[in-house]
Amino acid sequence: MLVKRETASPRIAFLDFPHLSLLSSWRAHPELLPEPVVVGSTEAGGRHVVLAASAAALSRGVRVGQELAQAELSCPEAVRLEVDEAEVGRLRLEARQALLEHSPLIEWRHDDGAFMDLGPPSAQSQEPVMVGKCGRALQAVLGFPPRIGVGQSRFTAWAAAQLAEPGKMRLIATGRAAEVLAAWPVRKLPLSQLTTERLMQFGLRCCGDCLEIPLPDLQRQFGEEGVQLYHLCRGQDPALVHPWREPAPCAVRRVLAGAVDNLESLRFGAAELAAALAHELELIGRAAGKVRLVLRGEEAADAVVDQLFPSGQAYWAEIAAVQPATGAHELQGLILGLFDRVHPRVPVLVVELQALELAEPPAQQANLWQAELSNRRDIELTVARLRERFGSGLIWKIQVRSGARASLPAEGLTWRPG
Amino acid sequence: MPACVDRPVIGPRKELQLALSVLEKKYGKEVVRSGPLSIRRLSTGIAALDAALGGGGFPRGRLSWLRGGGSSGALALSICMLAQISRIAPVALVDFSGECELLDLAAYGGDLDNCWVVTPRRSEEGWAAARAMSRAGLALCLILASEWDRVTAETAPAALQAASREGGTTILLGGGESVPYFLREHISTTVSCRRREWVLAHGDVAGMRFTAQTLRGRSGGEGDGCQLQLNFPRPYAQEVGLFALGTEEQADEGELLWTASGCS
Repeated sequence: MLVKRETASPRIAFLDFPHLSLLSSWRAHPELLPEPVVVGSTEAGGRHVVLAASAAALSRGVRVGQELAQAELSCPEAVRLEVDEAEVGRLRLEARQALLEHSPLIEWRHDDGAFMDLGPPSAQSQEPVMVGKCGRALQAVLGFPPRIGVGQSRFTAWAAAQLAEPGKMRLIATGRAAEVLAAWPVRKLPLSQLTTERLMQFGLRCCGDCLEIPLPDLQRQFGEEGVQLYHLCRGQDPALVHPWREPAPCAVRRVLAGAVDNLESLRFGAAELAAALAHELELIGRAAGKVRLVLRGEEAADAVVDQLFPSGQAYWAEIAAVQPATGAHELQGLILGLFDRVHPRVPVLVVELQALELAEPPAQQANLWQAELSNRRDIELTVARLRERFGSGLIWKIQVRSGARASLPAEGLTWRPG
Repeated sequence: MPACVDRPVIGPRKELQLALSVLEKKYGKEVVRSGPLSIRRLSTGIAALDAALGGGGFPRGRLSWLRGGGSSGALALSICMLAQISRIAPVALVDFSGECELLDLAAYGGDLDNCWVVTPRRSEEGWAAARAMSRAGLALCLILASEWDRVTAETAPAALQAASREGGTTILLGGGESVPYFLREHISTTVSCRRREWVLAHGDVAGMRFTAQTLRGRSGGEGDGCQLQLNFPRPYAQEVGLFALGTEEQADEGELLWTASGCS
């Protein structure tokens, strides 16, 4: 007789905590803990949106992702703060390090939670100890007790965390998820608004109501989301934890023959450094969104640079490229700009150039008919960097003004920043 | 008794190859080249002027100087060249003098979209912009000044030459009668412009005739010259642009090699 042996899915924990930007705001302003707080950020298009909101603000109608102006209308008494990127970055780094010490399978979720793979169900008895250690480690870093949920899938773990109190954990045994989630409202399921409204119209308000409905009927009524609903009500979620990995560094390093006081002499090496880094980027097929220059003294020649706590022997500066840089001359322009920003107080022995925020290199379409035009993009990027360095009054594009003849030659032209 | 030989005897060709391989290992493969030196050139669009420059035009990746004071034709020739090259490749104009008539760029048929104009407030800004844009691969970078010793720092020419070599850019210095020594030693080609006469029409100065002679050409053409006529953009002008004139006897039969459309 053949016995179908089901593969046991791993147990997953979810550690839920307030958004790091909110935590950093509370650290800076502890008096705002009971107040409605809205933390805003600026998106790439210049839109000011709500990045995080305290429970008091959320209860008054503020929603994450909505425009700050709209949030102000919903909750006029909320305190508006801007996100402190440096502090959030520091908290993120420390929290990740704290969790990685306990398990290598950590998936970071949008700065307000983390999934952790706890291994096979056979180790279920060790879960409270292991998860408790992680929770305490995280609390030590964040200064705020997380809510922890453990279950047989990502959704179950997340739902269990929502049911837990801060500083407590809720464990859902394998096979018991449907029972625990029976009272879970469908409004809180990751479904589209249309599907949620239709479910409410059908009178299906919680997961328990949907358990009775067979899969073919759900699929017929709601399509793919119906299948998803069927599995979610039973606490089933095929997605696994995608562990966070430190991105492979792309850097070049030069150790000088002797420590150097004068930064001007280091500038002569900028071309060689840029060419070397461009070669490294070409080997991995990436482009640098940001470039960091690190100048180290004798005592910090081999130390790891903590980006947020300068050691006193390592000095660094970063610059973001207008668009991901791959070419040597693009990088050289960035490096020369960095030399103006870094001011080491010790003689420099090691010069290091790191490519950060690696991205796909921008596609370049070669115009075979006019080979010279392939340089135009490089020139435009150079002009943009010169504009950043010297201001908008240096390089111009001119156009002949159309219309009536000008009395003076200068009036016949329109000038715009190049 | 045969002499003891400590090392094998190798012929002169082998010795030369050995010496070359040692040099290449130490300094790189580019240190020794065999064969004629090939210089890439940027054509001016005027065959006679190209020939006077040593064949082909101004050398790329090097500095050249169009020498001449006011009304000598140097400034006009440089603007005409800039307009001509802008039709096919990106160019830039760094104006230290502040005297350049930029409308002429359009009048001589230049593509203004392919042309960047740098108006530096301090000389370092202008040289930095010229370096950066040359390195990025401009076809031609025209730098105009009337008094070069006022605007040129000692280290600027060397850095600019390195940038032009890297980007393959032709750097053209326009104007002025003299340059400081630290700039002169980096100039590969010097072309002297001298006005011969004004061209008069309709009671107006409609153009000028001038000679362009290569005074110094490290890449050839030294002593060669040509005669040119420039028709200014005027409402009545039928053809605006630069002509190459032959000998004086053939002055009226000059071939118009490139022009802009006449101004209406």
